[in-house]
Amino acid sequence: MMKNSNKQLKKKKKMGLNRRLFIFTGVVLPILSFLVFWVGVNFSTLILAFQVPSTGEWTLQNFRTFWDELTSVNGTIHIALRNTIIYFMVGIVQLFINLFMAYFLYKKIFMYKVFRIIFYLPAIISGIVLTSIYLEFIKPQGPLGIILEKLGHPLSVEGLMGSVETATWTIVAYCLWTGFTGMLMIHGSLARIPVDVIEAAKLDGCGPFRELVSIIFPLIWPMFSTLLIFQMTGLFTAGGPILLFDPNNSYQTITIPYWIFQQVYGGGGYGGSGFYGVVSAAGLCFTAVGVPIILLARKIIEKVPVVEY
Amino acid sequence: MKNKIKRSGGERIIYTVIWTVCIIYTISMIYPMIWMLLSSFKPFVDYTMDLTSGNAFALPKTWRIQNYIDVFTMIKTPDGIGYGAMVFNNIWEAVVPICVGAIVQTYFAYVMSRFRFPGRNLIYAVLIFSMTMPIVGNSGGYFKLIYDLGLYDNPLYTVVTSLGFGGMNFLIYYGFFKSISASYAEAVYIDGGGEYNLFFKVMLPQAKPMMMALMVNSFIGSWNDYMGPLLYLPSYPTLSSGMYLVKNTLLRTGRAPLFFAGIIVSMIPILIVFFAFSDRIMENMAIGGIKG
Repeated sequence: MMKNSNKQLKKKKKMGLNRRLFIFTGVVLPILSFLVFWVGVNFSTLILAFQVPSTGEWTLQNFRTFWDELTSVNGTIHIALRNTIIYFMVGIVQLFINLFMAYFLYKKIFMYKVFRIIFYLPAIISGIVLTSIYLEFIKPQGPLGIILEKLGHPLSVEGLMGSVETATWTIVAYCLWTGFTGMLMIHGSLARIPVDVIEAAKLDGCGPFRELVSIIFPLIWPMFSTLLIFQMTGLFTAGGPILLFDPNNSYQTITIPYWIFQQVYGGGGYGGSGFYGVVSAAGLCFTAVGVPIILLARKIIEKVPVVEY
Repeated sequence: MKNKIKRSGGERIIYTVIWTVCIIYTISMIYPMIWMLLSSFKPFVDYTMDLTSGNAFALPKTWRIQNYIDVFTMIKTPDGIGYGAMVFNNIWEAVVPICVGAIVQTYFAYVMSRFRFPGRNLIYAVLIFSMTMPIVGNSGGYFKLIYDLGLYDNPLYTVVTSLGFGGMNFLIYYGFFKSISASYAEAVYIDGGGEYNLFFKVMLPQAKPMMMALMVNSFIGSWNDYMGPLLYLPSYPTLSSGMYLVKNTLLRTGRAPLFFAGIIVSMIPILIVFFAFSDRIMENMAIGGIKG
């Protein structure tokens, strides 16, 4: 009997070791990767913000340069921030538009299966392809130019991308045009709503708008709030594919992400101009402003009661 | 027999308006692609003349199939990398990180969802925190790190950077494994099996459909990514980054049809993958909330 209990003890110990090894091998690589590529990178950014890149000397000059660019009306960072806020607000609005459209796909509007694929197309077609099509299409001599000419409102010679007044909004329109792919995540969530809930609402005389706002929206709130939180993390990183539209920032289309790209990697290409100091200082300031806003937004969002089903 | 949905008059008007909006959007998406497809068959001179004479919608007078052959011989990046090499680069730059990432992410999500171990709650909280924090301006630090690690312009970049926990994919796998009944594990333990047996022979096969959908999604994203190869693997341009590099040259020298042919060819693999897996992709497009 002693031999049996010793055997069982050894077996338990082996299982325990086996389990610990299994857990360790499962977590070690992602944790290492996180420590290097998230913790390490952000720590490095913190250091770079206070250093002169070429000499490594400690300085606050990066913050002064950032502040001057931010507060000057024609400063690059000022313009970039203004454009980034535009993209951010449009992104939030797009989320609600996606919810609205997802509702009608969920209600199986005529040809909904076709529309599902069409709305998802921008996710499977490269940005290079879509922007090339879009740019060729909106040229004054392109199909859009011809259509508008026939309607009596011809495009100007320089085109929509050739003017400071229209360039940013042209890219915003592109982002809206290609931004319906998120609708499918919402649609997937709608598909899980119990049918009897909807039928009961219908029997009570619930119209589409009431159904969407009072029944469906509360039921999908966990998923939608997740999307909202992820969207809000783009407060200072929202932007369009400026590299593909206006790589030299000729028409004040620059955004914060594109400004960062230009500073770190050089304008419109690859390589690296290596202006890490000002970028890091700017990033630190924007993060310091963004984090409390996101935490507050999360707190408010989490106060909304979740409906279990 | 299917029951037809009865809608009130007001509902019918709303649905008609929405349907019209969807149709307009469909036309706006499909028509430019058809236009690009037709333009890709035009001789270069014809395309330029059609544009300048306000005849952009004109069908090709001559169908120049040669454009599609010229894609493989005439399209070269400024460094002389041809279309065929771009296709090869695209394949390994898309496939390798997805396969590595899928294994690492599922394993990690499984461990985090099924086991209680010291530090587990802290790790989970930190990961969720990192996903929802608006960190800005760390590109300089990231680029410097990639350079210092010797990963800049190194194919190992794709492997090393796919060893992370996977962001949104982690949440999906986590939710999935958490929902699996404990009875599967008990059955394996009773049969004398260990954790590795349980994961690889029981749990992973159950996750296969979801893994396939997420891997297809990731493949599509990787295939179309132009920024990553442009910035970190400049000597290994993919179709997207390569076509970006040649775009201005081709358009400026009046060879837009060749450019269009190049991007249409680059779309073929992804369209095949999408239509082969579209049902699976559509079925799996739902995520849980960020709590829990």
